[in-house]
Parts: sequence; C-alpha cells; structure tokens
Amino acid sequence: MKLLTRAEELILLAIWRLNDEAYCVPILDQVQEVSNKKWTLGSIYITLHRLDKKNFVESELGTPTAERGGKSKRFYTVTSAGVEALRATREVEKAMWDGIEGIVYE
Amino acid sequence: MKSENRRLPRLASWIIKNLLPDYLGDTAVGDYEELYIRQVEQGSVLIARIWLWRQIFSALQFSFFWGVVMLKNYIKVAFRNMRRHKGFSFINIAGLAVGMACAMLIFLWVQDELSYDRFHKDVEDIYRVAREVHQPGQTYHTVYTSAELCRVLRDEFPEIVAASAINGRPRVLFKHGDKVFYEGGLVQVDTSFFEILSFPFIAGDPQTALLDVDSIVITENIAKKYFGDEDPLDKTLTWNNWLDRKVTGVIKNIPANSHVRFDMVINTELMRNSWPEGLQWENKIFRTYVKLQKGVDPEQLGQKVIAAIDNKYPRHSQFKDRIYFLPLTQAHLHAVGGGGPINYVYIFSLIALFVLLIACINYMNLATARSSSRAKEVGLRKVVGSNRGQLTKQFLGESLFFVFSAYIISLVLIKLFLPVFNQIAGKTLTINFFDPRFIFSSLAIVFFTGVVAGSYPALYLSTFSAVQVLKGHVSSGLKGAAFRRVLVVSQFSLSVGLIIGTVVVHQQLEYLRNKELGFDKENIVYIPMKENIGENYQAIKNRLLEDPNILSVTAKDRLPTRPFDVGLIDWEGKDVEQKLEVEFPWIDYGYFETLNMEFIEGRDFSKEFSSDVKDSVIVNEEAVERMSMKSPLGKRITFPSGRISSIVGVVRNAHFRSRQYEVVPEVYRLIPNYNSGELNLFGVLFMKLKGGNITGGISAVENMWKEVNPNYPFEYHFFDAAVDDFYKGEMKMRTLSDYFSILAILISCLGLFGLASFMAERRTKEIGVRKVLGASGGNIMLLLSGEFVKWVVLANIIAWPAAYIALHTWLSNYAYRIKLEWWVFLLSGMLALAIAFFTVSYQALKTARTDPVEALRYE
Repeated sequence: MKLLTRAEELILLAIWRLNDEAYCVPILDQVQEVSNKKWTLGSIYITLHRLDKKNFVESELGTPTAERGGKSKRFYTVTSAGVEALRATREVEKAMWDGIEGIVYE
Repeated sequence: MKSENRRLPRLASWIIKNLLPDYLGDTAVGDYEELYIRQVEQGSVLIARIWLWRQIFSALQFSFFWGVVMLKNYIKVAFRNMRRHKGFSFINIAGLAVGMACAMLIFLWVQDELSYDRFHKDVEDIYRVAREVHQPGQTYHTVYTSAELCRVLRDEFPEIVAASAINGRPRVLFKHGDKVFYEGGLVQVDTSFFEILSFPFIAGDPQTALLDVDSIVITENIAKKYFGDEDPLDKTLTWNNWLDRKVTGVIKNIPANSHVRFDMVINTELMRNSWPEGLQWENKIFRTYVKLQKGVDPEQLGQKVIAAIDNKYPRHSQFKDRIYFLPLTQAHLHAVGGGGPINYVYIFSLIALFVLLIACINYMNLATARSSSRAKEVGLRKVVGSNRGQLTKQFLGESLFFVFSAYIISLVLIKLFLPVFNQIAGKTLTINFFDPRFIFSSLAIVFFTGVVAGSYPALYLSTFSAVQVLKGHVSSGLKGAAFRRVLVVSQFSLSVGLIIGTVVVHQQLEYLRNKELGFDKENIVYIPMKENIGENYQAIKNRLLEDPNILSVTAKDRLPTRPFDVGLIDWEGKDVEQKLEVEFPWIDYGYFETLNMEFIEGRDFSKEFSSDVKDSVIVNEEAVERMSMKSPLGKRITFPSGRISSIVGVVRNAHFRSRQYEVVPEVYRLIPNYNSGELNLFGVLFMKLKGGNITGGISAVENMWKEVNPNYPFEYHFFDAAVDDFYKGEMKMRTLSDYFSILAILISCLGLFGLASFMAERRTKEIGVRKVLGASGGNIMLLLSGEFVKWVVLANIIAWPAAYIALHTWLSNYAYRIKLEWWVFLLSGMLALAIAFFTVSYQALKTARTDPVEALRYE
C-alpha cells in the first residue's frame, strides 16, 4: 500500500476528528490551527479529490440550509480503507522513530 | 453590514462554479462564501476581496490539474486526425491561415487609418472649419475658407482658444551655402499654429517660433538636408534668392498618420506685402484649424458664428455660407459633406470578415462532412462515460487547435507579405508580434474563428447517440448534408458578391479615369511663372514659339487642378435672388487651344477683338447651367469688383479635379498684367510639345529658363501627372481590394475542392457500381459536378440583389457614375460557376476514370 502524503494524512485526521461536521471550511480551520500555516481552499479540494479517487474518503451532500444562502455543504467521512491507510502510515512512521525518539526530544 | 457584502462577488462565484469540477460546483461556492463572510466580518471588505482572489487564483491550479488529463487526450486525438487526413488538414489549415493573415493585415490597416491625427494634444478640442455653400441649383461642402474668417474667429469668439489658417505654397527655392533645393512642402500659417496642432519640437520654442515674420520652422529631414549635423537654430535659409529666413524651430518629421503634411512652415503675415487680396473674404484658399475651450459645443458655436458674422460683416454674409466645425479626428477618413476613405475602412473590414467567414465555413463543411468517420469515436467516448458537454468541449478545442496552428502559419505569412502589402497600400505599417495590443486582438481573431468554425461540428457531432452509432446507423445523412448545402450556398454567395463588387469598382474607377476629361493632358508641360518670367512674358512666349518642338504657349494664374479664388457674380436676366459663386481663372490667349477644350458656342479670346482684354469673358457649361441662361452669348456678367463683361464663348466642362466631385462653374478672363504678385506666386506657363520630340521641346524651355532666371534651377512638370494624382489613392485601394477578393475566392474554392474530394471518396463504391452497370465517365462527372453546380446557381440568386443594393449605395457617392449593368452580375455568376465546376470536376474526373474494380475492392 502506498503511504499517505503529509497533507493527505492531516486532512484524513481532521475529517476523523470533526466527525459529523467534516465539510471543507472546518477541515481548513482544523489543519490551519494544527499546522500553524495558511492553507488555501483549493489545496484542500485537491487533496480531498485525490483521497476520494483512492477511496479513502466518501462524501455526501448535506441538506441545504439558509445559513449559506441555500448552498449545501459536502460532508466527508473516512472509509475503512482510509483508516487502514492512516494506520499503515502511522506504523511506518513509528518504525522509523523507534529508538531515536528520546534523542530528538531530549 | 451591507447585504451585498454577504455574498460572493458575481464574477468570483461564476469562476468557482465553472472552473472547478461539476460535483463541487455549488458546495464550493458555499465554502468560499462562508470564509469570505468571515473575513468581511473580521475586517474590511477590501482585505476580504484580496483574500478571495488569491484563493481563487490558487484554486485554478486544481481545475487545470483536472482538465489536463482529458486535454492531453484531446490534443493527441486532434494530432492523429490531422496526420491521418493530411489533405483535409492542409486545406483547413491553409484556408484558415490565409484567411486569418488577410484579416490581420486588414486589421492593421484599419487600425492605422483610425489612428490618424490622434497624436495631437487635446485632440478632441481641435476642429476644422468647414462651409456649407448654398448655390443656385447646388449645395456643397468645403474646408477652404478665407484668412479673414480665421482672423474673425480668433479675435471675436472667446470660446475659440486659438485659430490658424494654413495654406500650401507653391514650390520655393531655398539656399544655404552651396545647398540649393526646390521645396514643395512649404505651408504658411498663423503664429498660433503649433498651439493647436502639437507637432513636437526638437529645438526652438513652439510659442514664439513663428512670431517673427521672417522666421521658418523646418522638420528634422529638412534640417539634415541643409545643415547636416550642425545645429540649425538661428541659421538662415535664403528664400527665392531675395529674403533670408531664420530657422527658429525644428520639429520631428510629420508622422505618417497626420493628414496635415508639410516640411517647412512660415508665417502668413508676409503675404500682406506681396498679395494682400489673398487675405480677404473672397479668397477662400486657406484651411482653418481651431482649438475650442473644453466643453464648448461646436454646433452651438457654429450657429453663433454665423449670426455674428452676418451682422457684422455683410461682405461675407453675401456668400450665404453655413459655417460649422468638424472634429480633427475625422479629417482623414471623412470627406467634408459625407463619404471619404471611411468607406474603404468599411469595405475592407467587410472583406476581412467575409474572408474569415469563408475560411470558417470551409472548416465547418469539412468537419461535418467527415462526421461519419468521427461518429465511432463519439460513440465510444459516450459509452465510456463522456457527456455531451465534454464532447462539445473536445470538438471546440479541436477547432481551436486547428485555428491556432493556422494562426502560427498566418503570422509567418504576415511577416512575409507585410512589405508587399505596404508597397501596394502606400503605408509603412510595422508589426510587433510582442505588442500586447496585437497579441490581444489577434488572439481575439483566433478565438472568434475557432469558436465560429468549431461551433457547428461541436454541436452536431456531440448529438450522436452512442447506441445508434455503434450499431452502424450513421446518420451522416440528411441533416448534415442540408446544413453543408446551406454553408456552400452562403460561401458562394459571399464569393459571387465579392466578384461582382470587384468588377463594378473596377468599372467605376476606370470610367472616372477615362471619362471624357474635356481636355488634353498628354504632351503638356508646365513651369512656374517664377521671378523674371512674368515681366518678360510676351518676349518669352514669342521666343519659345520659334522652336519647332513647341506647338503652343499659354499661361494661367494657377494650375487648374488647384482650388481657386471664388467670387459672387450677378448676371443679366437672372430670375433668382441669389448670386452665384464661381471661380475666376485668369488665362492667356490660346489656353483652350493648348488644352484642346471644345467650344460649344461662341469663340475663344482673340487679339482681333481689342475689347476682349477688359470686356469679354468665357464661361463653362456648368456656369451656364447654374445661371439657367437660354442663350448665353452676349449676356452681361457683373463681377464683385464692379466690372461688367459680356460672354463671348461657352466651353465644355473639363474635369480637372477628382471626378468624384462635380465641375465648378468657371468664368475665364484674360490676364491683364503678367507681372503681378499673385501670378508670380501661383502662375504657370503651359506648353504643348510635339509628341515625337518631347526632350527637344523641354531643352528649349530649359535654355530660355537659364537665361531669364539664372538664379533658379530649372524645373518642369508634366500636366498628366498632376491630373492622375487625384486617382492615386483610389488606385491603391482598388489593387488591394482586388487581391483580397481573389484570395477570398481562392479560399472558397479550396473548401469546395476539399468537399468534392470527400464526397467522391465517400461515393467510391456507388461510382464503382454505376460504372460496372455501364455509366460512362461523362455520366459520373455530371453526377458529381451537377450537385455543386446547383448550389452555386442558388448562391448567385441570393448574391445578386444583395450586391446590387450595396453597390448602388456605394455608387451614389460619386457625382459621375456608371449604371449597374445586368451582364456584370451574370458574368460574375458564370465566373463563380466556372470556378466551382473546374474545382469539382478535377476531382470528379479523377474518380470517374478510376477502374471500377479498384473502387469495389476498396474495402
């Protein structure tokens, strides 16, 4: 299995954490907050599109609300394959960190 | 917060919707809007806007990423198609390239024509003064006005910031050291000339340059010619060997797109000494330019001027002129009183559009004709999930791809043909491929052509139903064929229209050139009555006549091709209140004989009648007609000066100036004094030379000149050159429109050829079967050609009335014009038919002569 890129990993985790509220705006907020960096919506769309093609996320349209002038939100959820990919990535990372963690955080 | 700030700007949401993949469309707009509103609430709208556009800009990358995958495939397919059908691709691209090159050349030309005179500062406040002259039986417009009118405008109307009259001077001899040249580009103006027309100065001060009576302002070229690399300021140029003029200013060479042209400028003031009458109301030989205050309405000012002058200057008001102001920017393209080169701008733009349309039609034709071979591709694409929108995009993209290839070739063509074009058009157009304006406008042409050419194939091909196509029911049938017919018919209508137009324009201009001029221009040479010639005129005349190569010698106060002094006359037995404005040429005995002008009634001036000098006049046909005289001989005419003379002869009208305009009424008088200031300035000596030995005659004149005017280099001119000058512009335009029409016809033949060969290819089997069953080669040819011939005939029927109306309108600009004759239409139609027939029959012949075995074995 191919490893996730950092952006993919961050966004997948953000979706996971946001649970029911995972549409683009909060996802953007979340990754900006965690990474302390400005992201553009476009980069979120690209990453989501790639994740979607790899079947790591699923999306569905929310019911339109007055709040956004009748424009509906697209909610994302992580699929089991997505969870699997997250875990695999995490494992590789863990293996690489093994033994040097202490030195780095000294 | 304002409610409008609670929404995305419309453009932004449109971009988001259209550039992002469809499934994101609305939700993405919602996402952006939410963040945008948050930004607005936090701070200023401006910051939010900046944020938004940066966001959209970076999101564009995404849409490109999305498109690139399919785009690569489209380009690949387009390339394969191009390679597989080399013939069609060649026809398409060549046609498009030539069409676009034509369109772009014409565009350059039009742009140049429209740029005339726009380089002056405050150009929108600068006007020319024009007159609408009301005459018995005629109204006409002119920009020739008197210097006095200019003075009144400048001194008495606060709305007019500056006014200057300008008048071209006859050739003058200039000398500086050992450099001696005649200069033709000399004009006289008022001191405020450069306040109005801001020709840039290289040296000197535009404000003061012309204040001194003996100052002169010259162009860069002239400065170089006389002074080389020296500083020309304050140097002197000796004028006609008697007056030193001080150079007080050097201006840049007059740009090609200025309608006012000159090399040297002097102050008009000096004319007060040599020819004061020239500055009076009667002498309307100046053109007047004025600069108005900002915001002044020229229309109202015109009315005010007319009223004021009528009150104050009865001497002027007798002319019954309506004075009005014409914007400077129209000076080049609009003739006074309507018409003018603007017509060529329209005609050429129309031709450009036609040529482009014909090339587009070729593309559409060939693309739809080939639809059956593309149908399978469409079917397959649909099966694997592409929708109609994508297919439309693909075919539009393909045509844009073709057009873009053609565009690259057309750039090469333009580069190659621009010098030739410049030569024909008499322009110095340059092209800068990196000029943003050029890039923008040529890409606009590419886009227009691509979309127009691709629209029908795109819409048509994308409608194929996948199931039908793959089952083999290719409906390349009726709908496509009918549409192609419409296209071919409209294409040929355009071509036939162009042929008819070209022929009629030719006829008209040829007619004008050959229309009985009313005088002989061949073998006539003229020289200016410079310096000592006037004084010794009689002696010179007698001496020249002794030479066997000189048949006759006569004189006139001005070259007949130049505008004259005009004045108002009264006449005996008139039944209208008005006076008639006529030209008063002064001539010598033998003038009519020299120019071979025919007398309708009466006689020429003759030495036998001593009263002729003071009491006789000769009028032209036009004058008689305007005065509505029944029997003009012996009738009396009263001049503005009070002189009363009777008519002794009537001459036939002579067309000395462009025959676009009518002949002016003329009243000829004998020159009373050959040594006047006016004659010295403008007078000319005409000589009719013996046809066989022109050079002999000229050398006799030269010998005389050297004796009489030793200080002046000899100069002479041929009269026919002066007359033909009027048609130079028209001739250029004619040559150009010829070339473009021929190109248009070629392009449409190219298309027809492509279509015919395609048809023949598709019907190979049918033809094979027909031949096996006994059809002769002739039958096959008839079968293939007949179809096209039918369409071309139909095209003729459409083109004729349209061409008739257009040409009728064009011809009505001319005072003397040909009648539109039916045979021109028929002939053009036949020509188009013949061209179509030959184009198609080449292909038909090829097909008809193939061995049926080959034809039937082709699968």
